[in-house]
Amino acid sequence: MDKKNYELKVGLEIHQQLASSTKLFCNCNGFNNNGNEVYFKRILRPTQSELGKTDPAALFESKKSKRMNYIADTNTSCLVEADEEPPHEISQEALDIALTISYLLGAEPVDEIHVMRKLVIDGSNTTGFQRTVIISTGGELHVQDLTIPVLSISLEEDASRIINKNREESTYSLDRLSIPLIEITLAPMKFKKEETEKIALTLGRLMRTTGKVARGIGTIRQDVNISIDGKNIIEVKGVQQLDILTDIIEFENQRQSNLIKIKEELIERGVKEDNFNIRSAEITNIFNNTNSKLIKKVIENNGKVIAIKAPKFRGLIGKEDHKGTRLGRDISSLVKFFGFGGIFHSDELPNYGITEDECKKVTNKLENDDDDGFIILTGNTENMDVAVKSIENRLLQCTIGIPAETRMPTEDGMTNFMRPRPGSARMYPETDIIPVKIYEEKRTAIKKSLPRSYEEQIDNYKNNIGLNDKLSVQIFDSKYKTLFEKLIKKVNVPANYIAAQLTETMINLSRNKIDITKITDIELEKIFKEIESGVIAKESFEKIIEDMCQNNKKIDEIINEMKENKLTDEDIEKIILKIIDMKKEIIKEKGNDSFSILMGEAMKQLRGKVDGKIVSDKIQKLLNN
Amino acid sequence: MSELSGYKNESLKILNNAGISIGDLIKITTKTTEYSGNLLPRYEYSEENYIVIKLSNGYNIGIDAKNITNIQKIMGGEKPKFIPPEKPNVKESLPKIAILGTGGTIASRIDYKTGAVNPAFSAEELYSIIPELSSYANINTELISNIASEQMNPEDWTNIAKKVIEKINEGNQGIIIGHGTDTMAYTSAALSFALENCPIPVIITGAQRSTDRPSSDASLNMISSVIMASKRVLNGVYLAMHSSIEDNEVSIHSGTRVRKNHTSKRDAFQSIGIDPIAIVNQDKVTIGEEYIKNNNQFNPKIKFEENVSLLKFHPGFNSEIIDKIIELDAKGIILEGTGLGHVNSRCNKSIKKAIDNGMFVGMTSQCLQGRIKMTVYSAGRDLLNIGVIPLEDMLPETALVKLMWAYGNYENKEIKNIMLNNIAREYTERSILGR
Repeated sequence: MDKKNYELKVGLEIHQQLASSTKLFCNCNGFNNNGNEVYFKRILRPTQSELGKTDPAALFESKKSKRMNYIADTNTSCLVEADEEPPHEISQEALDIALTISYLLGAEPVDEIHVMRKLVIDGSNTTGFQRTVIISTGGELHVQDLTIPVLSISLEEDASRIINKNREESTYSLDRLSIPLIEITLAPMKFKKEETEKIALTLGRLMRTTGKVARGIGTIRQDVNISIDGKNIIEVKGVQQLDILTDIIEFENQRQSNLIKIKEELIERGVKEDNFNIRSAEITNIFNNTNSKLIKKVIENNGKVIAIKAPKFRGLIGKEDHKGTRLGRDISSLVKFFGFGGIFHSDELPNYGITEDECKKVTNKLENDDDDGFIILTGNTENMDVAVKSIENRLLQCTIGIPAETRMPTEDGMTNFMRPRPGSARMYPETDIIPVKIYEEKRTAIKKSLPRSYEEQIDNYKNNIGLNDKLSVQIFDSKYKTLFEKLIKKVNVPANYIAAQLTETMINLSRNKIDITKITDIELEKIFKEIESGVIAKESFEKIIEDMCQNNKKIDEIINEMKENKLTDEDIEKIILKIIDMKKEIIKEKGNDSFSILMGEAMKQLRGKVDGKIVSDKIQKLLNN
Repeated sequence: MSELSGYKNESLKILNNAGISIGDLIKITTKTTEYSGNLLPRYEYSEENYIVIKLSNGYNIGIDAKNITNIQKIMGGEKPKFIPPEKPNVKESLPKIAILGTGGTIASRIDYKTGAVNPAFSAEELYSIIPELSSYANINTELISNIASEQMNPEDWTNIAKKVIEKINEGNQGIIIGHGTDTMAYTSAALSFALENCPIPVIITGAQRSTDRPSSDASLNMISSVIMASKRVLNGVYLAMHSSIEDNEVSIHSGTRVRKNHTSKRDAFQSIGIDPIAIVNQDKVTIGEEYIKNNNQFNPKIKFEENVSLLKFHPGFNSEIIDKIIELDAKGIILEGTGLGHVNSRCNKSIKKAIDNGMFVGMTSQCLQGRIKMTVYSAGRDLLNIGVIPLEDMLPETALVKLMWAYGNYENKEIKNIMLNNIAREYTERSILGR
């Protein structure tokens, strides 16, 4: 293979949830999940297209009517999410954030935005389509020496959260549906795989400078477009963790290289698209007395066994130079799409109870030569024909190269077939919403109020606010960045303390499996205000959050209790005097050195009730008397 | 559609000068950037000076003509090809059902290039879009008009009724009418009177979510209507729509007792004062206790008199409106009064004048639920004395349609009797507890 012709190109598509106060097309807040639950069932049916020609898998996907169960929280969803009311106008807040990010990347907003419907009938959108709109095009992202062109920036509705899924029906929760997502599509570039993570991080931080993007699991997702032949792009959907990106890119690099090697070997063996000998046969009879438990069971259930000829494929289906990249695995994940468990192929047989004799019979039936291979598909569903056709198609594609597909990542950094790549043809206008013009006044206003860059903001945290390096980055990256900036202006509590609580303490709590997502910004603000007023001791922050999350205590309740139980100066002094009295021997002996002993004793009784600073001041004062 | 549909003035001039037509792949340079894509039609209602293109990634954008510095045609566009589906094998023994279209879409195909939604209405197309239909019925289709529901007039009811009679004579065992939902309940009431004692099921149905989306309720409504009609268990005029926001159950409402009670939900249509006559759940049909088989002679009378008014009383109601209606030579008035059937006494003089002029004046309630009883308060008694006729628990819209129908087909002296006679279950005999 002439390596020079093949170059790994990777394009990232970053999807980031915006922390806007409403969803994209209604007034629900998607982050406030504590209303009543409503359940309903729906069926999605494919809409008919004017376009005739389709891939069998695409046709299959579009022909399936699907049953969906939806769970909606009445706080985060309204009739719009249930597809029971037309969408409202696009959220101006989300639009402004998208425009801000556009200008930060030097992208040019379009004059008039048109909301589109992108067909998605897996049920993740109650309508059967995702609303999406291009806001701007062009621009560049700078990552160290690298300049990556931006292709487009769009706003789209986030999809529903999948709860579970089987062949017949899927269950989704609607809370996430229609939360605004910004999608930034970067141009595919030649660069080192390792740089991908850096790019994603830089772009993530650029968006975070606005203080208006959501944080936490699932709020940022990457799709990666990977191509080594420059023509056919593999889209890997929904990579949530940056650290497996590199593995996925390497896997795709290897898998696609393997497909190219197969193509070249097939050409060598004289197979071309136009002389490809497509052939399949029912071979159920051959297995009437088989030892294969799996096939036996299929036949018992009136299923069929079908063999598909793989002309000149001997040795190529099972070929695997890198873990998981063999063609056999690809075909297996393809048939899973049609509801089958998998396949057997000639390179792995005899095995799994299938004997040499049975293989020979299959070979004879298909009139195979020595260098021909075969695939065996078993099952009893009506999808058999279309699955066989897809396998034939997939084998034929091997003579052409790499088929463009949408694939999904596995946890161990591989990818599986998900569906054929939807073309631009899947997009049509959302006629319920009229196009919106982006006037000059708006452009000027947004350009005037662009946020400072990541570096400038970190500098500001360090030099003006007085955070250390680590806290500066942590608070910038955390979901509490905006709250932090508000609190340091509003509350007279040291910034370092606030930042540490909002980052380290909160992370600690969530590591201890405490669900801190329940805590709202308003509640946090109340806690810091009461710390300022002295009702809450600084040391109790962690304990209060724990109390709220685990015992479902309301913050007002806690504050009231604390106010009622608050010790007066007199109470505190009494306690300290008692300790001084108890320890007078030691005081006599050690003099001023006894302070730490007294302090330790006092805090044993007063921790969480009185600020440590107050206790130490009082001890000093009383000792000196 | 002209070659540059929707474009006007400046944008039209720019496109004409460059020799560009809809669908062409074009390149546009603006002061700040550059786009290429296929030219799309511009919606008629939208602002004039924007040019809309579809980018290669499928997105549409609008470009302000003012900003364009250069525009050029790269290549001509392709016309989408549509290969009509083949008719499936449908068993001859299945019931023959006619599906009539009046406007709106029961099924449609999308031209993804332009976003245009084209109605798909031949039997072949319906079978291909809703394959389930072929297991229940031998369908034949006819598009009888193409008007949005709110544009429908009483003469259209007459045309629909005529067509239904024709289809009955052709031996159809059931008739489904696709209809826009806004005035669907008026049409169902109109047909209920016009097709008195109809021998076969006539079922009006529609969709609250348009058929160009995968989540449309149209298919289930259509399938359930066809299932209902194919079972040959009931006759008369009905309206079939979703029972809830779920896609599992469709209610078969009596044509005269149904109302659109929500602007957008799938279950907007509700029977008032009675339960739905039947429920279709998947292919299971449950006929309710309310159903009464009607074996009387089919007695179609299909004319409607338009010059009849429905007046909703409200605080501050100007009684001169009634005087104006009298001046317009209206035949009759249905009042939508408050509560048990009242209006402000300052209207009484005008109402009396109408009745003295020979007009029929009937009372219904804006409460919608419940029965008129005008003897309870003096306001009601005064109206009774003037000659206002209480119309029991007839829905105001049904009363209006019935009055149009009565004046269309009967002599003036018969009107009062006709209005009080229960012809198509527009009155309930008893106000049922627990409803």
